[in-house]
Amino acid sequence: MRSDALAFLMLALLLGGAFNIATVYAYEKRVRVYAVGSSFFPLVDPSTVYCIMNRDYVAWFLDPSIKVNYPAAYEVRITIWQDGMPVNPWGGQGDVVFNSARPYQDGDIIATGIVDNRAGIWKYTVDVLDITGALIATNDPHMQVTEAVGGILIPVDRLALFAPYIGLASTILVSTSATVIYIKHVRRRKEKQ
Amino acid sequence: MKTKEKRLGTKAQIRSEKEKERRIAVAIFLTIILLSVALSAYFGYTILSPSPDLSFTEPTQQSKAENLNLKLKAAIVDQLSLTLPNQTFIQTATDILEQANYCVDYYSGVRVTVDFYRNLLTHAYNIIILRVHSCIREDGSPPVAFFTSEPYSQNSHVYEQLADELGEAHYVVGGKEEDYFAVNPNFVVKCLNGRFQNSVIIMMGCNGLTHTDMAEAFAEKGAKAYISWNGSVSASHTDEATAQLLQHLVTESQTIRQAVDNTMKEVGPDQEYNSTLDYYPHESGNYAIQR
Repeated sequence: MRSDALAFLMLALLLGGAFNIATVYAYEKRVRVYAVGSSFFPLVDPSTVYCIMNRDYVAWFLDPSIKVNYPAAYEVRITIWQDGMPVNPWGGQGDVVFNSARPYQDGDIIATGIVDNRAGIWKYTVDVLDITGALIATNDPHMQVTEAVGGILIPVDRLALFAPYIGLASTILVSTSATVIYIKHVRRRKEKQ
Repeated sequence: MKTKEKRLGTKAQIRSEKEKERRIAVAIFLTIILLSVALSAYFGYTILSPSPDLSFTEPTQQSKAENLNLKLKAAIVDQLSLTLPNQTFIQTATDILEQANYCVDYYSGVRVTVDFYRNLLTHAYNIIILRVHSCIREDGSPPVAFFTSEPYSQNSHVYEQLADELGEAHYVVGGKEEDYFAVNPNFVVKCLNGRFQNSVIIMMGCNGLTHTDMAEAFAEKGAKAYISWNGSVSASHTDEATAQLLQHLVTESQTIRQAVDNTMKEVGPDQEYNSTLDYYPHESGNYAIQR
């Protein structure tokens, strides 16, 4: 997971120069995770955890634009629900815990995962823990990801539309022909007699 | 004597052969007729079977405020409520319109049938908000078509399908593939009963103005302006933009050009599809909705 995250970061750096997320991920949803209901002094501000979601994957990372001296956060725990159902883009069940050998830094990718179906209301809890495993801060944001309000117009299959009419015409034709042939046959027989 | 008996025996044989042939002919004939009757009944039923009665003309919900001006009417046609519901948007839009003294009719997804569109003009709405899925062909070519919530069938609305008034629209939502009847511009021109009375149409679906054929059809039926997106758009973005647009158009009485420009400045293009709001015809840019 860490190697994926590093590759992700490297690509971002290569493409975006100064790690300009808005430029690099032009087609991605970038949703700010807002801190809510945090009554204690946030040593690490979970509101700086961003979520990116595009067609293929979802990624959480620390906001690189806010330069704050974070204390040593070594662990981030993310629990996700989509439309009220627990979702785990990394496979398995329950909370997903990500550890770092060093304290998380600005712009660090915490995690990336694959999402099959993006549409829905996503809720996720982000808990940030220090090296001792003590909860430093928590955040409980949500966002709604929706699909495009479009579809595809399929050309009408005219032959299929005509099929019942062709069938009806054919049966009428066959029955009429059969009647005519039968009547002729009967007449011919009577004439012979 | 023996020869006579033999002769009679041959005649009887021939007669019985002929009788047998006659019976076989009658049996074949009756079989063909029976088969024809059965097939005719089947095809007749297929062609003539009435589509399920899906015509709802009454709105799901109507404004009940007492001080509303009954001359000002607006409709929210929420076909998206079936797949992408957003009650917050509906409430916001209704509030904006009611505060401007509009009587608001809300139509939920199940009511948005072919017959619903057919009778849409009979209500004389000043503003129609079409929160509906819309589509173009897979290769990006016209026509622009609006989804109904009436499941597609080759046996229903056959004439309209052959006349290119209705089509088959397909979408995938939550991994589920579905096909519905779609209303083409030809349907708007030829099948809508009545005319718009300088109505403003806000079409919230994708590609409403990627091609102008649908907008032209609405203009031909008397619509003052048709506002929509020039590409694909996500539900959340179109909801956000439309709420802002309504605020500018209805509450602040801005012209269509100002309202569209200001909305785009505020919400920006769709982040994923880069589409923007536009309006048709361009002469309607200076029009402001009367209150």
